[in-house]
Amino acid sequence: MLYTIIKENTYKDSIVLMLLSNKLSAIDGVNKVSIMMGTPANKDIFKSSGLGTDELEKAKPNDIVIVVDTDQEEKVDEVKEEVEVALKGESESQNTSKGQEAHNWKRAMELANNPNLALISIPGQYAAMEAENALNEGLHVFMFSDNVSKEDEAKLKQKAHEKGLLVMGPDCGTALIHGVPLAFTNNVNEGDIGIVGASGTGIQEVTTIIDRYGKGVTNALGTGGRDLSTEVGAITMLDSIKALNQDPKVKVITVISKPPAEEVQRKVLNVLRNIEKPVVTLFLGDKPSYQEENIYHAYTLEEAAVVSVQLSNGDKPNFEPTTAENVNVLLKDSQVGIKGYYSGGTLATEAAMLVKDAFKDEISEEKKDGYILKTKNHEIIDLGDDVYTQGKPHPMIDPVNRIEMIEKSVKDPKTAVIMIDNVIGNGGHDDMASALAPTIKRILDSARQEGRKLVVLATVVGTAQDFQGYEKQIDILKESGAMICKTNDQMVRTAIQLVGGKVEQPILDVQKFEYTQEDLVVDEKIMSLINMKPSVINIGLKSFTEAVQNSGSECVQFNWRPIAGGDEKLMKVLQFLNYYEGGTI
Amino acid sequence: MILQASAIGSIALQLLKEEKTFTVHSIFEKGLNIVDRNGELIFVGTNENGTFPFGILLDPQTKQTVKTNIRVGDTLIFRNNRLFHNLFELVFNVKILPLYMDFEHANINKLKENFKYISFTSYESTDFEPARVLSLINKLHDPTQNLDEVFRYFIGRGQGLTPTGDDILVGILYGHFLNNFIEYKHLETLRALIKEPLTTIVSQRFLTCAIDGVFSSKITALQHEPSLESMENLIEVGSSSGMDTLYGIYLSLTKE
Repeated sequence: MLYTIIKENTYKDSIVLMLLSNKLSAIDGVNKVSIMMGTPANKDIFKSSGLGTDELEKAKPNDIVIVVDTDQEEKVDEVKEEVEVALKGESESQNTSKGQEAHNWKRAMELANNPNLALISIPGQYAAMEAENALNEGLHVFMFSDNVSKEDEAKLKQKAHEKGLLVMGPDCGTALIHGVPLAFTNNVNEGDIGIVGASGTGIQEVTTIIDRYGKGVTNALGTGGRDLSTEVGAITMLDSIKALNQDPKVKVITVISKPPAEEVQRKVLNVLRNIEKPVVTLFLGDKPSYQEENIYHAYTLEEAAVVSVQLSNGDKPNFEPTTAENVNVLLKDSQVGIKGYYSGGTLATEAAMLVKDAFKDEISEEKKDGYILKTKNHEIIDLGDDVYTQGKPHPMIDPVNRIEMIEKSVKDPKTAVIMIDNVIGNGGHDDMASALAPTIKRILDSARQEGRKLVVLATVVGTAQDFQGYEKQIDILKESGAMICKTNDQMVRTAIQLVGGKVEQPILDVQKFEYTQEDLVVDEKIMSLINMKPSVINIGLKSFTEAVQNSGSECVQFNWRPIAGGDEKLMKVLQFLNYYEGGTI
Repeated sequence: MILQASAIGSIALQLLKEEKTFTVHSIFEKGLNIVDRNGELIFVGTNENGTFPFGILLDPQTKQTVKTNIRVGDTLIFRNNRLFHNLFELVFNVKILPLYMDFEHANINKLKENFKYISFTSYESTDFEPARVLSLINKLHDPTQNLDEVFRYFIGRGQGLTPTGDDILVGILYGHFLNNFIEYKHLETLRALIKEPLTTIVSQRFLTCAIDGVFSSKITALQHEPSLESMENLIEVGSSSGMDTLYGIYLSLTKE
């Protein structure tokens, strides 16, 4: 008995058809089978070989025709099944498998839907290796992990650059990739300001201010703090700048970093001078000494944000620093000290810079571990510094260290102003305001009982879209007695004013510089990264997977375990062997 | 997502007109075919089977990305030098694949010599036994013949996506461009027949090009490097397509 199967408009590689033919011929009970495209000539072949059927006549040249000769009707189903399997092939097998987790690269790559980014948060000694694996798989890398050597960083970034990929980090805490927040990042509106930053909280402060001004940021690319070192040579920053320049949706490019090595700064500025879009730079810690026609050099984070907004609106840059209103507190003459207890490193750096600038004639700095600034009267501490976080969570998550510091500072009769930041957003504490509020209330009460006034200033780094609620956090802190400042810049200037100082805003000439031509072209893979929601493989902290998925992006969780029992040397050998000649684990 | 094509064939380039829409016709291991409203086909994929004048060349990674994002029946639109799909866009800041029509450079004697090392005995006692193919070749330079029936026998006959008969015809046509022997009249008969629904759309594309002297790079390699290696590279194309083509070339060059 002859059975005809016609697959309309179906195309498969000849090899697939040949293999299928072999498979079907091997089925027990199948006397004869033939698979061919349904061309008129082939229909003749079917007929002349005794496989002609009426149904065959319906077949067209672009249909696959299978005619089976078997005495057992039930064999037809088996044949049909084999045909389905063979013709379905790979295209259907790649459905995304939500909720599944991988334990190795191969599986992660299979589960992920066209992944383009690896998010790495495993311990530093293993992070470099997995970053290299990710690059070998053709993925961009976001490295949250720290404790990666500078040599490894330079090597990874060089490799990435050659492959047209981007390595953000190590020690990268913040990035917005096409509106998707990674790690510690706020939910900001999308918009035409593009940011590259070598500092996490710096990016957070600038993006949230921009958001609160009603503008937006679609891409904020983190580079990690050491990208602008001589050894690394700003590889990630330069590629990022070029990508933002090439993206027609970006109107203004904003670059944030600590002051880089001199030759690296020259290199970065030279690239920026090649760019026609308006640029804002902030080398936080350097007081700018000139302006340029197309490059606005900002002094503080708020200034960088405000000028970016102005430029994006097509307005002329015009930044007027402010202090909080109605902060009139009668301090005792002995109360001269500013104490800043920060969870955001860059915010602490900015505070130290402004305090130093305001009191430059009167203060001599004491070098002390764990302090960003320590003088006779003032102290600024970054509680995220390694000294304070060893064995403890980051102060953005854990308030304990901060509470301790605040309580201690009250005992110092010189203390006049205490400054605290509350960085909300993804990755942050659920309700830091409520965690700090009782302490603020207590110290203000106890100072009052001792017959002196104390000022607690607080700033919330966040947006209305952050899950903790920007306004709610402000209300809780206000309720506790803290005075709220809109930005860190405003907070520090207010503190300085309270103890009788002032920071002069630089007024600068526009200067012109010679520059050499730069190739501004960047690999399309980097353009793809910033032009679409990333498809992520998350290696490490599971909470990052949820955050990425919540923002509507795809993410596969790779539950990483050290291979070779964690023996680094053996792992490196395996690493080499696995990627020798391009193989994978 | 922005993807970058690596190169483009000149025929594909002519088909990519502003605001023109294409439909994904079929997806294969090595790439995919898209067709315009007139049924003109462009192959988008890697060069594992050589490059084609009607091809858009992708690197393997890009091919994979395209394949995972695309389904048969999807629409693509060409605009601003880009091919837009709802999940990606393909950019064409690329070189145009050279069209090798320098058939006069071929070293026919060397090719003939190398054919001695390749066995075509598997075609004996098949629908395409040497006597039958040679009979066609001999009629091709006889202007008195009517070849309609003979062509109908070859076109669309045999295994595979490009049936064996079609591949042999492509090989014979290549032999003709190396060493002119086919009467113009017969080329026109063939051109007309290909327009009929006698074979697959992919074969139609290969044959239409071949009549105009346009061949894939694995074939034109023979006129630049008449080595056994070039022949073996051609043999590796498809399950039997490359071999079938070579068989056609062999018979048309050794007919005397």
